[in-house]
Amino acid sequence: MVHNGAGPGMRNTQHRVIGHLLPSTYSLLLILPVLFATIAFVQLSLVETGRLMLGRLIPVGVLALCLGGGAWALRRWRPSHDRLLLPLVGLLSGLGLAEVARLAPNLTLGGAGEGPWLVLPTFLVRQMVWLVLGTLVLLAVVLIPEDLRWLRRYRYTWLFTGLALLAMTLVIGVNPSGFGARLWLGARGVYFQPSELLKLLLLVFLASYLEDRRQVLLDVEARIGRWQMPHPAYLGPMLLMWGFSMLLLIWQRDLGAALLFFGVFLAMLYVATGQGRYVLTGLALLVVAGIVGYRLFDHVALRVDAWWNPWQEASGRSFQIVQSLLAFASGGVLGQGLGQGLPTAIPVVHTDFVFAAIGEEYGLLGALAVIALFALLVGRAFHIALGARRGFDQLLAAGIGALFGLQSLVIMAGTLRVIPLTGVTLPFVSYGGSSLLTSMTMAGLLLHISCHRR
Amino acid sequence: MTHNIQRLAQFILFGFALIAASLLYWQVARAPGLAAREDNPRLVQAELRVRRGRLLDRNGEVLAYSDPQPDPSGLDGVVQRHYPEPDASHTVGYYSLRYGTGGAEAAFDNTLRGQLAPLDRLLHRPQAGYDARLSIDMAAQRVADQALGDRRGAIVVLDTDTGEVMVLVSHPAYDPNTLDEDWDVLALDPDAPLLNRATQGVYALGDLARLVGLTGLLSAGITTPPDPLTTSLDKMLAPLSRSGYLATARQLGFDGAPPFDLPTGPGLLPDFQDQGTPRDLAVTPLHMARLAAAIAGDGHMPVPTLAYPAPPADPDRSFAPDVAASLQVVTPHFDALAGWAGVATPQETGDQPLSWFVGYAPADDPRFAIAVVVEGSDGGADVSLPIARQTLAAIKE
Repeated sequence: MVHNGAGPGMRNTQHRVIGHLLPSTYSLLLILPVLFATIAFVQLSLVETGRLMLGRLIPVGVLALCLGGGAWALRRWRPSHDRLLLPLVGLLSGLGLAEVARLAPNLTLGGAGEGPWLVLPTFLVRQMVWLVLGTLVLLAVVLIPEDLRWLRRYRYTWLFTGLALLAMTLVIGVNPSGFGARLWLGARGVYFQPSELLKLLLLVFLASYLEDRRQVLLDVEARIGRWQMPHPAYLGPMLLMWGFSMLLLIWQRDLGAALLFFGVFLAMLYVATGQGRYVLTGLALLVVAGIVGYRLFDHVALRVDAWWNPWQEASGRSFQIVQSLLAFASGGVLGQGLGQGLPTAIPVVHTDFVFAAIGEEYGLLGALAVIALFALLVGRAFHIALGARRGFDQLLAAGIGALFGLQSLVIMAGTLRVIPLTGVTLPFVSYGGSSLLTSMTMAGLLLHISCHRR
Repeated sequence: MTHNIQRLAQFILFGFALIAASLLYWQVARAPGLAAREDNPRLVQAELRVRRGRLLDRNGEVLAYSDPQPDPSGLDGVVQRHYPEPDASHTVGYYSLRYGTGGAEAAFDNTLRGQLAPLDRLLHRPQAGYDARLSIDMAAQRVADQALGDRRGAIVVLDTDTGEVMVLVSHPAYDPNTLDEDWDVLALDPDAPLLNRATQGVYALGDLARLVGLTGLLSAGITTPPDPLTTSLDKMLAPLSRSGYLATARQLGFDGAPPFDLPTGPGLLPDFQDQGTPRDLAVTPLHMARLAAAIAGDGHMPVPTLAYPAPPADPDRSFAPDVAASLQVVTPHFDALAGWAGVATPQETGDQPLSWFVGYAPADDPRFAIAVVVEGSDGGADVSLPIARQTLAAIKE
């Protein structure tokens, strides 16, 4: 039966089957994250206090509100949205809340002994606030009535805004913890990391630029020996903008973000042009940059050495990575159980090493499940990209998928000593407001694109 | 672009597969070796929670116990080890995260620690061990400790039949309750309070070389002088020759370390090439107590043990029963106590003089063998005999 005017999703019966789960299944998928978070927070309360304190379940309520409200709004105004994304984001965010509660330094608002309502650690309260803000931003992005042309049109404005913010950190940057790289802007407890926003803005810029110049980029206009390349006039602006971003990040010593930008740039270039040689050239450049960085910069050399042979200085320079591996090892297959391992032995475990904590306390099975969640998330992003109507939407969705994928890969591989460690967050899971807000925005963009299918 | 997106998706999914493979590598293949690394802080955390069993004396008196401190969560907390009898430290030993274990704490470590069953590991229950009962008679040990007073030295009392160590005193001692704080001072103390003199202090025999010489003469079937206690040692040993004397020392196991639950020191045979004399022969008090037990018995040196009841042992024969009988006849009697007292001179000890008493009781029906060494004293029987008397009197009741 076909009802006229019943919504954009009704036009294509094929997508009704793929994209729309039965309502009951959708509700079930939304209940899962809440159920998972409930178990996690009950477990944490029991392990830490020996009894069930209802005040400790506040984060579950916040998560349920975000998910329920989000799902309600989406079903009401955007009934054709992708039905898997929100449950995936919810599950990862729920895991993130539980891990922040478990791992973050146990400082409480109001101090100890002021009743169960005030014993939530400051970090957890902050993460909850960011989750609520993130959900609102996600909904706002999805519910924008227009298509994403406004994003596409002002690409230089967006990117320059991001770059300006990032450049500001060079002058007035701070680090909320008081030491380490100064990658944040802000004061008095509210901090923002511009490189997270820049990540998103660079995606928008690249998607827009590549969509406009896709055809001309495929035309061979210049030759250097046997090496064919597009006309520099087409490649130039993009390389310039990207190079500027990279330079800022390297100047800031934010190696993780730099690596990520590089990877996403190659991925989007490949999606737009299908030229494997660009990717290979890029990877070769990365190796060269790595070698040069190793020779020139102590902080690069330190990370590479700690990666190549951690056992030599297990209690010194390689302490973090060795402790991370010990956490994985002591987790085994089944894990120690949430709150019952010792992942806090790893310095700054709640941001960069949250995956090691998952490996220790949820075990191999839990860590594999988290990998599966990210694979689903990335797969969903690419699925949305394939179904998108416009080239810009396709490129943007694929870029977001590549970013989620590469970012989770970089930090997982770093904590597992597959590649040298670079500090990036595990999307949705690590502690960090800027990261969560950006990830939520990107999820919102994906949902938005999923509503405008072919 | 469809094809490109699919290729990119494949590449990233391959990356996830790679992560899964390295998870398998670290969490399964490499896990046992890594988790056992010394720098794994989880080992210390687990160790802090091990509920070690108690150490008891032969009558059930508590010598060491573990006291779990309540955690803020009311769950399994960190355990504190207590020693109610710090003066018995050389026997009871110590248990320290920093310095490991010593004494009976080390000897019975496996029992005291116990094993963590797989189910307990899964449920995060702390590891709990079993009690271990020592052959020590704490009442007698206390008396012996007081009898020795602040003098440096050692006292060993053995059950002549079973080899059970009833008393094992070494002075000076240390307090195992505060070992971690005191260690640096103790380790540098010239009086070596961390050395167990009873089992590892190797003392020159001095006058007691006569006992070894007599054993050698009797074992070789050579007629002993009619007045074995007063004849000069050189004259008495003349028929035995120096090599015969050394052979006797070896026959008594003095060239090796006696078997025991605690570490023991090997004896030192005199170096006759370098102006050594028979009196230089040096062994541990524990070894001399075994010799006394062999004389009191039928020539078997008991295998000393701290376990109660003593595990079955098959002691080697050191000399013939008739040698033991003859030695008993010449052994001086002090009321119910039989034994040899003597002095080793500074030349023989290389340091200060010392007083020995080695004997057994009751003299007519021996049940206990004793060795007493008092460092820095040339009083001989005047010093060592009262200590032996008081100690044995405490046991017999």
